[in-house]
Amino acid sequence: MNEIKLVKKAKKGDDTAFEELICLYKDQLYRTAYLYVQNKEDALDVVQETAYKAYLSLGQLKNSNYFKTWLIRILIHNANELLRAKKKVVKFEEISKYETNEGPTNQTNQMVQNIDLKTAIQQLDERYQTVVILYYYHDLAVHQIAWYMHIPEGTVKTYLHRARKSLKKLLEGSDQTWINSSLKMK
Amino acid sequence: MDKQQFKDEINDIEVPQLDVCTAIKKGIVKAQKEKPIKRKTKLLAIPLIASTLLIGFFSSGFIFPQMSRVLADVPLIGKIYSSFDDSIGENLAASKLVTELNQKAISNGVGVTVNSVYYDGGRISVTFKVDHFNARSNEFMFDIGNIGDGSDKWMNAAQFDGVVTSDGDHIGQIIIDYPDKEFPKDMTLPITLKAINETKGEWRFDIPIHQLPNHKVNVGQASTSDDKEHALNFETITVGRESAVLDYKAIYPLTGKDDMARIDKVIDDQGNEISVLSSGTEFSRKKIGNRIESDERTIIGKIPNHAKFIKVYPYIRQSEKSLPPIKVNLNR
Repeated sequence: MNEIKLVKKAKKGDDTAFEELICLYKDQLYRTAYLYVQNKEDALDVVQETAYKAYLSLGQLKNSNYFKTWLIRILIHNANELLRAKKKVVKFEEISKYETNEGPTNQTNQMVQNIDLKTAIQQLDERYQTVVILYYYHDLAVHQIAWYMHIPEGTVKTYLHRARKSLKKLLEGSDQTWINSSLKMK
Repeated sequence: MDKQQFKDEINDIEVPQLDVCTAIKKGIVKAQKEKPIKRKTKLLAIPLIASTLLIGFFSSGFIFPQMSRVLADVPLIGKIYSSFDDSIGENLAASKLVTELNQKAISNGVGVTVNSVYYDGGRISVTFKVDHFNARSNEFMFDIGNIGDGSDKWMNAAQFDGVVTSDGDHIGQIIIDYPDKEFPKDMTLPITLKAINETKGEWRFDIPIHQLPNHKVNVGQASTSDDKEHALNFETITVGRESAVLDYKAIYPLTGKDDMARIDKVIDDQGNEISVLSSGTEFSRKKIGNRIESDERTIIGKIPNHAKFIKVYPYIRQSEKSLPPIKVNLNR
């Protein structure tokens, strides 16, 4: 069944359709949450809270086409709420644990590389994190991000530009070539 | 390709499938406990009430041809705004407070007709329809050559969207949060479009705009952080029909030059949340003595007509500080 039909059924009170709908995006939800909170337990809490709030406020979703964007918005809000509540800051030094405690196996190197990008995203300002995640991971166009964040399109472009600059600086020396390639604006 | 590389990196995050499904189920069960029956009964109740009202209305004999035409017009404009998820526009259209226009410009074989405008509180919306054009998608992009006096502040204050409706109409919307501190009551807004998707051209309009009646209240209250370093001095609130504008002066310490004051949450006197449409529009940021002062603005959604006051929750980004909430009396 396609997404729009599921949204319509869920809005009519079909809980199975609602669960199916959320599960369609469970990987993206979890990974996005993880990018913000940086650990499994908190990421699962954010997903749980997102399902809870989405269920309660589904009636407010006017355009069924925007379900995914609407859901991601709830998720990012929850992740930021959790971070604020915990006043949690992941320090760069934590990465060094992986580098010093383990031998230079391929698996460890792979892990360090992944942590680099994820941690670098986490180091960004909240606004830059959100535009980077929405643009690069969720494939939203600049105008959709602008609409979603309630900021002008020009500002989204500026944030993306600054975010790329910051990531480049944070990942200096790494082989994250995507940062150096030109940013194609939709 | 750059996006794909990014995604590949993020997709390396292992998803604990079972745990995620359990978390989703737990969230739903928790919500069901709070709202077990309401969702279905609410949906049933609305058509019942609506049809009862309609039966009463149509059987009352207060129908004449002009009224029928008015009733027919409202959904058409309202539909444009619902396509953009713009509840302000939808509600203004329902109250017949959106100005209908018919300004047409043709360039490169493509016609653009500006068909509606509203100016409520600090927010301006202009919608248009594109003819003789096929986006071959359910959305399209457009580029603006000029808005207002052509300065960056207008472009930065604008957001755009273009959608293709289920009827195949190509409609666009430009929303502008008025970029100056003082609002003019009436103005002519020049807008030039320079491209629609790949089609380049020049579609030029001078759009007459009239601000809907509003109610301005001098607030004169401040919210200061515990360490006294940050403060928001609330100056005025301009209550429009479907939105409201909060103007305030944000005070930052010199060490917090990158800080940004934001309004995180607004609730009415019943505890209902009012949406924050845009927060942190800056008009000027100046160093004065040992602090930075900045004139800023937040636009919020509709304040219910019955509300006597609202409660505003400021938050300082970068320094990550919540400031004490401020109760703003609306003097109604």
